[in-house]
Amino acid sequence: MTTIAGVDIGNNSTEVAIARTNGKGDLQVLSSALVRTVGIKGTLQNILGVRDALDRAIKSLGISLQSLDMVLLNEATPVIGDVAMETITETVITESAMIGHNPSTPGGLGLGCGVTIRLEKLGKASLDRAWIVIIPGTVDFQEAAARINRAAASKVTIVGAIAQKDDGVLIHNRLDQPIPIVDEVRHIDRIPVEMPAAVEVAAPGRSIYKLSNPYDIATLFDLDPEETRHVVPIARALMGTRSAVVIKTPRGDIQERRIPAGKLLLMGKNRKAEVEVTDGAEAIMAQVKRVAPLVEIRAQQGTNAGGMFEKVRKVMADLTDQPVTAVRVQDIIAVDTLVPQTVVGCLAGECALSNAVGLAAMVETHKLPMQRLARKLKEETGIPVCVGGVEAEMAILGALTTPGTKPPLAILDLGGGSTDASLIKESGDIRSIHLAGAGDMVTLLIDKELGLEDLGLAEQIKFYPLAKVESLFHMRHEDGTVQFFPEAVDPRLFGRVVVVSDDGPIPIPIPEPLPKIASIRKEAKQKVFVRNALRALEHIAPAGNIRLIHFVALVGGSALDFEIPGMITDVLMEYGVVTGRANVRGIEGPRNAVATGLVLSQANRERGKFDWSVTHPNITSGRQS
Amino acid sequence: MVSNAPEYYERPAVLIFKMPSTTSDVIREILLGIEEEGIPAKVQEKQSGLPVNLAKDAADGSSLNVGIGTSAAEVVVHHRDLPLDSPLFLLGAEKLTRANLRCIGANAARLVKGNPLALNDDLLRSATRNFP
Repeated sequence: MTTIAGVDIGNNSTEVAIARTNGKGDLQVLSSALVRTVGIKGTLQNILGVRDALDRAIKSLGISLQSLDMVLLNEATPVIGDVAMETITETVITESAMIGHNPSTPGGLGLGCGVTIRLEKLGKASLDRAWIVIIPGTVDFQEAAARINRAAASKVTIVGAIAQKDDGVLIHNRLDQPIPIVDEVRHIDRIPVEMPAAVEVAAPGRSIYKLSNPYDIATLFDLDPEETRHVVPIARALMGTRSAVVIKTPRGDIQERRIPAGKLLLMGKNRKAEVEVTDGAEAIMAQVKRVAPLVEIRAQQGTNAGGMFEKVRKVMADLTDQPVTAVRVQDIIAVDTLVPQTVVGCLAGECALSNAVGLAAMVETHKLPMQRLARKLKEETGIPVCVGGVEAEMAILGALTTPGTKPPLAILDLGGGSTDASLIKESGDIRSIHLAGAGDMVTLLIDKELGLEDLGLAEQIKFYPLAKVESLFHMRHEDGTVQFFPEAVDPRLFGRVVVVSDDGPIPIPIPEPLPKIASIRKEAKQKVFVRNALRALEHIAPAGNIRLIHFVALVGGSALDFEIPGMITDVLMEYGVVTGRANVRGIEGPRNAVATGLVLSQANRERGKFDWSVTHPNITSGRQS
Repeated sequence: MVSNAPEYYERPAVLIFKMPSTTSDVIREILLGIEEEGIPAKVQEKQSGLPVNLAKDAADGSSLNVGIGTSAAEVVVHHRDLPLDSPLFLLGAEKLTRANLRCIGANAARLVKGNPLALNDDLLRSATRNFP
């Protein structure tokens, strides 16, 4: 009897399976373990994680590390992916020309159109014009209301107000004549005086009606067609807000500027293409498809994509001791997104949605220095260590232990940095492909689209369902279920949308409602994983036809996601493919496929032939530690 | 007789029970905070009781379930569903700045509306339970 350990070092996790064989090919898997990978895969740092995982796996068996007869290390696929975002439009206000924001409590209701005037000048204001009053934060709300009332009593026409502090309701409640008031305008000193302006406040639950329509703005300010064209970005930025101010300044101008985001150079086996990032994801992916199979992709230097390309190549070059020039980016995926960005020159911190393109890139080399790692591990433990088995083959072998599967079978490995797929035919032939874009890209999209600037939180939003804390004692989950708390919640959670993590609810510090956050999360997953699943399967399917694949098993970290497997199952249904999360050895779920494959391959070696039937009968599953 | 009780016809409001020692400035700022959030409030003077008890009584008596108790030394925000000894906020005299009082008022109103609270260190530290 020999005891062997299969060790799979992945980008994010290190997995172990321990098994016993009788030398004739009969195998019994005893236990397994999973820990986070320490360091970048392929580096000597990995050993820390490997030892930890081995310790955990043998602990439940009550044996010592020394009683292991052999450690099998996977021939890790040398694939690294990374992500970047290029913003391609930007809204710039060259003169102060608009305020559009959502103070939680604006004052009054309706639309007022007049000329801007400072509060202190109101006493001497002319009687034949309509005025919009600018109220600085230094003036108390009572004082402001009193002055407006006094002016109104002496026949000055006042049609609206703009206030710096959050006291729009307080001012409004003390006025004799109601007017719309937009408050919480931070840079009130930047508002020009003696300029035509319009103030609009919508009723609760409504959004502004006039100032979000370019023709209504044209009507209010008497604009010619050319000027109307210029106010389109204003109207667009104001859409959906509850209150807004538009000021017409002589050279007042808001532009939607297109930022040069650089070019991508796609070099395929047979042809080349150059594509502007500003053309958007559709155009980029169409070109990627046209020039396939891709050999190398280059991005223009000085752009975000260029920087990201350099980074992945450098990491891979350092890892494999190759010159950077020898490392090539072999695949990209581009995704269109809308990113909230603070308007340049804004008065109240307003945001406008900018178009952006998310890019993920992948580099692949021939071999990672796994032998170096194996030698070091042997030195440290005294156990023979052997590098064997191509990762894709091992993953398939492990995935085939899923009850209800047999070759031909395709696996989709949904990881963090890349999406990998392999197909095994009945003959035992294996084809595989690595594509850029996976879990990390979904995290980036969620972070950017919600404007979080917090990748850790974005990761949590990706991984867990949402809920809204509706009272001190209960929250309502995304699906409508209500959950009560035994004690009152932390006041920081009250009224907020939260991520329901394993460690309790985590507040999301943005005002967006739950359905919007949920839909951004779902769309990000669709854009990356559903698209890549189809791309990958087309590559490995016989004649590029997904219909000819009958079974697909999902493995890898992102296969544990609560909605990604469902999304992929849905889309593959259309091709008549049976899709599901793998259940390695009937107990592991989509985990441990490669580690299991490694110990199984040893059993095959003992039998002296490659026999797929080893995956099904007579495997006694060990408990996971 | 219940339906004829005068309270039955009263508008729902956040109740504020104040000790005579409470300054008018304190009450004024709290009321402004509640007003800006668009929630009605009503003040009653009580002759005895700790602010925390007053706040709890006010919350129990308010049809909006939120009450505030004040004295010269303390301001307490309570909710009907909270146990007496763990009010939502309890601010000592040294913390009773204008800004904090407005905030207390606004948060009492937001508690009614179910909107996220506006918090600062003073308010968070005032919470009677420890949060990580």
